[in-house]
Amino acid sequence: MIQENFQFVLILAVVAFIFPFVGVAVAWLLRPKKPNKLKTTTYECGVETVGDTWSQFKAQYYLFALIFVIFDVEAVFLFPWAVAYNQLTLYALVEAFVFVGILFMGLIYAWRVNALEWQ
Amino acid sequence: MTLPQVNFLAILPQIIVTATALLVLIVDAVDRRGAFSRRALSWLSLIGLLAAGAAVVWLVMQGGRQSFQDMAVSDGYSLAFSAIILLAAAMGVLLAKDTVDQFTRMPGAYYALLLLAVVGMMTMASATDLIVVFLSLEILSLALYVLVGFNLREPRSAEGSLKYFLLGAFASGFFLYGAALLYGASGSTNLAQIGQAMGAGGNEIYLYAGTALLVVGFGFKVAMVPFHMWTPDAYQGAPTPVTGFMSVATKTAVFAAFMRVFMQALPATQETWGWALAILAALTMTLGNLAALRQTSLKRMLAYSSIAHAGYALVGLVPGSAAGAVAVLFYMLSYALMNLGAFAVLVALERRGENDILRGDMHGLSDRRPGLAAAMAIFMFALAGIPPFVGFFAKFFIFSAAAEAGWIGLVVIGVINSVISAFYYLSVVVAMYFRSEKEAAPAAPVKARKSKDKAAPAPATPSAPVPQAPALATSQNAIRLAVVLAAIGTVAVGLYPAPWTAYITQAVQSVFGG
Repeated sequence: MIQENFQFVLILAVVAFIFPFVGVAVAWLLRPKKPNKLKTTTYECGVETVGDTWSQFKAQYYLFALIFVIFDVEAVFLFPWAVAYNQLTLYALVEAFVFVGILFMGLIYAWRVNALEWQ
Repeated sequence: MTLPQVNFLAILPQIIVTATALLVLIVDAVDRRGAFSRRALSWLSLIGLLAAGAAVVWLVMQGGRQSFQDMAVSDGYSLAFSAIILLAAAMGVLLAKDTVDQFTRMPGAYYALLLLAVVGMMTMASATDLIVVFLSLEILSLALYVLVGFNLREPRSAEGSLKYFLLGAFASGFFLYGAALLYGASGSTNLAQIGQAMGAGGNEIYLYAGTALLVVGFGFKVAMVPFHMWTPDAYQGAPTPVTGFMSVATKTAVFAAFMRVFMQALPATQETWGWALAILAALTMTLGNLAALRQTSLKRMLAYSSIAHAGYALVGLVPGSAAGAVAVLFYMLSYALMNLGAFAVLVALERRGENDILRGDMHGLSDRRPGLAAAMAIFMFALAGIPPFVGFFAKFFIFSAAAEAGWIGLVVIGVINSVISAFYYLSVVVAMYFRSEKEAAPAAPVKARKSKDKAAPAPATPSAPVPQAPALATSQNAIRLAVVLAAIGTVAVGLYPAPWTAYITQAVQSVFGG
């Protein structure tokens, strides 16, 4: 029954929760402790941040990301369809075109309202 | 491999509305800011909604139960709810027809999102599988989040939208987790199969935890206390046509799924969830009404009143009986008529650049616009539950269904609440008929009007009649039509409830028996 399967999930969850604590605790016990100024900074390497990190991003980045994700997901849905293409009926073929067609209309709209232009 | 036969008839109204939404988008995209699309978009949406309504009527006449892959059905129950949702959507389009340019420069997106929300709502009313319930919940929510924030010039619109979105996403998570636990307890997401598995006795911990999480998910969407925090802000910030539409249609759709899930999948534990819902219903009614007493903004008052009405409707779900389901369905019909009517009056009164009406603005309305004042009085009487208007019978059916099942205490709380609510509904009527415009508070400048909950103190200067800003809508014909339709419905269904209840009873009994 399904409940037995869920018990493995529970065990996995418990182990996954404990695991990082064990790792950090063991490392803390074993490691030598010789701090210096450079070591205690947040980033030992990389570029120091300049100014306030709560700066505003241009909203268009999100717009582009959103449109990208839509087509990403479209691809995810189309892969299984393409793999099983040989065994599909006409109905499935039409259905996939309807799906792509609806997304295409969305793209046309986005293009017409100048969502694709960098302003 | 052959795919099973697919019965598209079962989702015909949804298909029609989806096609209309896409068509609206395309027309808007091809003819941007053109003279044609300006007028055509609202007509196109209305025609699509009417066509979907015709499809609903046709499916009702076909009778019987059409199933779409066991995922969604079209039966009397779902069609009755779909009809109410389509009515609310048509009103939402009518109210926006002449005002949409005031709050957005993208009318096409407004109509398309409204139609897509309708698709989600109708699917929700016909869902027979938890996955589809969740999917439709997301479709309608995503559309509504955007619609609430549609007024870019109004910071409150964005505030309401963000609150609604953050809390709504959280609530969706609750719902999904609850559905997962029910799946774990029963081994199926299909409502009928969950019902069978639970009847045979399943795992109780998963069952109760899952049920509780589902209550949170549904309760958020119908604005049930204690999941109501977003309601006043979202309802007040949203453009008024959107508020009217979402307050009615969302409740209708979510109650449809709420009842189907709880009465079909979880009848075995009715005693437990009945008690939980009874407590929530009592809280919801009381808090909604008490908070509404203190509002000076009419939109905010109606928001709290809609919380209270969710509480009344919830009372009908508590006994888990077919009689209760009939009462809830009738309640949704009557709530759609009277609440959309009230919001239509607000849209008619709103002035350019403002997104709200204060109670002071209603002073002396009976002199200035007698027809509108009379209509508003009808809606207020109906919302207060005064016979012979439709609101009275709606409350009567709800309370009698609960009393029949022995929930006397809950009914007493409900009746007391109706009395409390009469105070704030009637104070609007008093303002319209027994106060003259001179007493009208505050010729408050626009900025003061935008203050929060408690209105800014009236300026000391005695108010001379204020030069009124021009009305929001240049032509009010569509809004007038909406007001008149809602008023006729409120009176007519109130005077002749019999044919409606007869159909509703038949529709509910075909699904739940009894």
